[in-house]
Amino acid sequence: MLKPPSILTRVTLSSGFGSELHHDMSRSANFTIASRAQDAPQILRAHLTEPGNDAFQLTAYAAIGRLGPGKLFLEPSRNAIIMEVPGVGIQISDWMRNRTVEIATSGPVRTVPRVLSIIRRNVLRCNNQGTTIGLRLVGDHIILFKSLWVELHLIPPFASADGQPISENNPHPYRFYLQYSHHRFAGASLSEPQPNPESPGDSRIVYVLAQTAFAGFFYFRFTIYNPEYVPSGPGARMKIDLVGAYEMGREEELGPCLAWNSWLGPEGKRGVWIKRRLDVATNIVVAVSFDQSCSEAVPVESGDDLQELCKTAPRIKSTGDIFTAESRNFHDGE
Amino acid sequence: MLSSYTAERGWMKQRDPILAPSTRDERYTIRSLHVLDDRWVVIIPGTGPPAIWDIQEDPPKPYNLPESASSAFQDDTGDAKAAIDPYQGDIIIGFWK
Repeated sequence: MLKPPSILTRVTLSSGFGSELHHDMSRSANFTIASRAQDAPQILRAHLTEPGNDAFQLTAYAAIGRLGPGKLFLEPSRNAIIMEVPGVGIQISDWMRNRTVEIATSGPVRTVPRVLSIIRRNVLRCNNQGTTIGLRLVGDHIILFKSLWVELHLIPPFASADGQPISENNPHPYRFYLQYSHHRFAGASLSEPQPNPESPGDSRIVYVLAQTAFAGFFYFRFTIYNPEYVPSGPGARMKIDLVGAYEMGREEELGPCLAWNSWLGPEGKRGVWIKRRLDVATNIVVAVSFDQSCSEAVPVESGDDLQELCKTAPRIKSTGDIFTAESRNFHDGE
Repeated sequence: MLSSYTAERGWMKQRDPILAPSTRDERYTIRSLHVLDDRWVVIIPGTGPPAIWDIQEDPPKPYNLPESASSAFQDDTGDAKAAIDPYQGDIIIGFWK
């Protein structure tokens, strides 16, 4: 068990706004950073030294090309940067071999005018059907969580050393429609792939905490069978269970709220979400702990209305508020 | 390997627009939020030191930073991400401007 955090360690980069930090909990105290510095975007690695040492090394590891404005996803174990490219789909870049592969995904990718408020943007973002709001690599596949459906893609081979694409048919993606009434998902947080105790050899589990602005928060278990690609083997498939739900209309006691955002820990055991009270413009950060035994989980079929499934799905119970911005009385600097 | 830098252990803070609650009249913002190791939650507020909570506890328990740490965060701005050292339990906050 980890001790309470006794030291905060600072990594400072200049001109790297929007950079991404990643670490692999299962491996070592190594941290990988994708620096968005305009002059020299690069991969940096930091390694913590022994306790008591007041310095650690931050090493420039590989130069990378200019990164787009979208959110970055890092998979250091694969030397991969993943990002969504508007009009193209998902781009996966291997920074060690300087090669890139693109996955054409379904649906248009639209941007939202900056002048809109964040509430407006949150609502409109739900209409961008093709926008990826969460993703995770699982074996040789990638899960894309979109506002109305979930896709499971086989990652195609990278281009060969001479830059020519490798000719190999990429199977059609596995698409699973997922929505709550007419609402669409605005955000999703996916755990790292976990072993499936019921079938450890050929499947992995990814837990997902997702929210729609008006309907609430939903906790899913995605079971991915055959995540490793075998040319003559059975293709990957995915099973989705609704493990728990927190419906805003049924649960609210403090006034009208939006399901604002949510985060899940890497193992999917615990997470937090934010409810935004509309009447007093207050953010309420709530901690939640999930029952992963899934004894009462409700299987979800593609196209099912989650509103119906929620009638029998377990309710997610919070363990308490952990932070209310208003109550902390932070000063805005004016 | 291209080059190397040495960073100091210390304190930092950042700006992350993800949680900025509104565009004009919201004075109290959360710049970023991170769930580390399914236990520690680090919240970077609009101003002031990070808030660290242990959500393994029921109810969640706040972790108090030492005063020296709190003061070191007062003037920081920028974008930040947080991670945790799996062996030592140290929290790293990447800080870029």
